[in-house]
Amino acid sequence: MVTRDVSEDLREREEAMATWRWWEEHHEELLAQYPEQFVVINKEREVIASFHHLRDLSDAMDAKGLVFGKDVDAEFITDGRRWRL
Amino acid sequence: MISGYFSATWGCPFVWARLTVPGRPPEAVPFLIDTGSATSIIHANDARMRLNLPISELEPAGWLPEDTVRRRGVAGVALCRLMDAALDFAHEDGATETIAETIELGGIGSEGLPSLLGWDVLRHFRLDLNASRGSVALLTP
Repeated sequence: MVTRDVSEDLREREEAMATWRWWEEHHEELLAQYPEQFVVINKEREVIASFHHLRDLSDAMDAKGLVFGKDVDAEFITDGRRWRL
Repeated sequence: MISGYFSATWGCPFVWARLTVPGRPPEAVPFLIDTGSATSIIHANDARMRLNLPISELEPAGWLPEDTVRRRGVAGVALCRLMDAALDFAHEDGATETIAETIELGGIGSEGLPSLLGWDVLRHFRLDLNASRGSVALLTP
């Protein structure tokens, strides 16, 4: 184990977890609207697009010059409990 | 102690790690704690949407044969690419624990799946999973 200044790490982790919590908290309403789809949100956490396939999502983001994590965040909206991993 | 959580979406335990792979800046990634998996795998969603790997890197046809492995799971057989990685886990006291391992990258066919934390990484910890309390902790062995 190493100990170092992790303030930046913690800030990034907190930011990522806050966004993740937002996805979790809004999961049911998003699932009702966008089942088994990739949903894209902007920095204001407004849904700006949805796609059925990762490749289509990727192509659309590349075409607009948007970067995941910087300009937009995206999640695959699914009832994961039904999956067999 | 490294804290995780039970996901409402998946009904499974997750933990966050800061993942560094060659040629990419570190990014926070949520991993499903998969005690049924021998290896850890970054699946296509996280590879593209968190690590910002180009979609072309998720095409098994472009992988070198020596870097490609076949994995059999409940859902069938899938090809994965071996990949060096460092995972930083944040302890509650502010310390960081870094684990370097050769993990795996799933192909585009793994879209929709969460990334998995298997025993190649889990063997470094003692697991405390309590679904009834919703608590998840990775502890010093």
